[in-house]
Amino acid sequence: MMLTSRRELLSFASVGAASAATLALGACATTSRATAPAAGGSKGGKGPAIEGPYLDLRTGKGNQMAYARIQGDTDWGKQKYFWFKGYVNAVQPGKRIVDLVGAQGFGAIRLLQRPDGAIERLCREIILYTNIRSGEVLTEWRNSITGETVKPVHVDNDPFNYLIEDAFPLPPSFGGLNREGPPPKRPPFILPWYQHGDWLEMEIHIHLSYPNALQPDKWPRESSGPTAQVSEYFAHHVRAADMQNPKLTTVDYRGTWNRVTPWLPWMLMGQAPGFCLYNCFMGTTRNLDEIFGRPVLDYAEKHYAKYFNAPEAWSGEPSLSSLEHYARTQQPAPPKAPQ
Amino acid sequence: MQRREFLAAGVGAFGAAALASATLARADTAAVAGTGRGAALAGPYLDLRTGRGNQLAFARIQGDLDFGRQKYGWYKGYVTAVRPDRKIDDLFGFEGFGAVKLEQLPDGRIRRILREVGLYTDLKSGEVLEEWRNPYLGETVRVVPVANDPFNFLIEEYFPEPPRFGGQNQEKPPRVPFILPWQQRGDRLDMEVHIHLLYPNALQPDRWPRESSGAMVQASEFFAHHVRVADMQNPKLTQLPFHGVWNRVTPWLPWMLMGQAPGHCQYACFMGSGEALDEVFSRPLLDYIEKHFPKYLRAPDHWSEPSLSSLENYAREQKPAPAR
Repeated sequence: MMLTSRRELLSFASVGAASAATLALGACATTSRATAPAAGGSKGGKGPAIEGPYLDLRTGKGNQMAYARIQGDTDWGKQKYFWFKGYVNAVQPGKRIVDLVGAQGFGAIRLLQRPDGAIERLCREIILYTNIRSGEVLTEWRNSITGETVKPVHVDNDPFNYLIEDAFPLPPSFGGLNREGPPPKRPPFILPWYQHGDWLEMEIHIHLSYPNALQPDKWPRESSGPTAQVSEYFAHHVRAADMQNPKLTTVDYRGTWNRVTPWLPWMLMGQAPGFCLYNCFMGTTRNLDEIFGRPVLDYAEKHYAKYFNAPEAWSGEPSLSSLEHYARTQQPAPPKAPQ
Repeated sequence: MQRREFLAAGVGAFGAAALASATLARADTAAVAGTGRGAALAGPYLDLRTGRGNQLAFARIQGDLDFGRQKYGWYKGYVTAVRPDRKIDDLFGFEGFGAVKLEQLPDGRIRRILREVGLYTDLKSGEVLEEWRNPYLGETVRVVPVANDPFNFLIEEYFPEPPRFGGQNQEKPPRVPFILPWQQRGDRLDMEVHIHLLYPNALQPDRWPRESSGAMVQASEFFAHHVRVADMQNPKLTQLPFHGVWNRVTPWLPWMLMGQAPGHCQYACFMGSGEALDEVFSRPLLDYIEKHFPKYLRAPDHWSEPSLSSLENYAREQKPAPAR
């Protein structure tokens, strides 16, 4: 799971498309007025920037263009970077939460428009786990909870593509593991925007619970249990003036990405109670040097060079959850040596 | 509220290892939230690599250095239920604000004088909840809003000593320079601070069987700030507009009557300052506050003590619910 639930959200299995009650609620809310309460926010927040003059954020079409401009660049084919940077916590019942590792990553996105108006979002991206103090990329990590040194498995997703349309898409299959049924119809793609002074703010989140691709019988040390509990939260801040400026084919955002996810498989936590909580800044940039330290960029250039460039064309590759990906690319760790 | 505990004691004052290490490092070395660097950290107005620079920066975020002038800080979001191995649920909205003013002491320390109110709201209608149907219990419970008067603390060149939380929190870490993990990215500055706490619950299960989450409180707070570089280094701005996100992990709220059921609440809220309240909140919500909590529209005039955590307040102001 690593990135994937994130992608699940971005791919809008997410907002309103899944049958998750809260998400459905979000869909209801967002299909009403954009200033009405949604699952991702509460009532209030108003202002002219939601209505125009360039984009009407109360419509599916307006949100399609708004989201395309924050995700990518509607100067079709022109690349844009997004980034995230923060850390991962361990949340264990009845214990103080602990900071575990840093998480830093980026993606390169290119948009292409189809004849029918749908927008292809072409992306590849990485997450690197880092030492929380030095910022160095981790090649091994001492798990302070188990006392064991483990080998981090970074995340690289190539590609992760999806369509940005004026309606929410149907949920992806997640390697066939997400059995929640599709909604009866596709709701208009209306995100919960709020205007607060000069800023537009928009939060989307998704709550998932589905069978784990890493089952405990085969993956006793990697599997958190038969079911994966996953939530993702994306909080965006966008300048209202930028959003309504038709000359801008791309709009910067800044914000926060939070994620609740099972123990990462390579932590070898087994079925210990608890989970991981991610806290990351996120945003867009033209210059990755503004965001990351040299150690992270050097590591990325050496090991993930192609991730500095977005895919050139749409690919039919399946979009797998990172747990699925882990199950396909890794091997179960041997049993822990007796103490 | 933990939030205040955080703001107060806050950041790194406790033994939270990561925070302590982050704040003990220089601001331009890697910190827990990333790599702090950028020209704007060095000035020209505030040097964010120093305790004094951060004292003034944080005071301008929290309040207004035009001492005595009131400022509002707002938050707005929702609360989720996190239960083991279950899909997380959205429970209700949460929105509110604090009214704050600053006062300078002769020795340079800055008093932050605040009261604040937070209301729980219906996720669909946005209306203020006075009662709430708890879906896990199938029971309708009475909602207890947050109304903290006062919550005051000192903003200094050092991380403050932790508050005592009515004697509940016994930790006594050393004082460390108040250096926050600023990160410059182009024309913006980001700064995240968080704290992880574990302390004895003011609501113990023997006396508060339905309200108490257990003998100990697991609480974490996370504040992610975005500030413009130009604003930070503009000495004419005695207060700094900012936007960001406030997250919080906290036990079941006492009035949810979840008892010691496994799980906890997680808050996800936008926060900010610089806007008028009616640029952020709906008219019905402001009407409700004007009717029921009018004094919270104004900061206290004077410093007073004590400032209690919301669980402490709950223990003092509420009564245990009868057995179900």
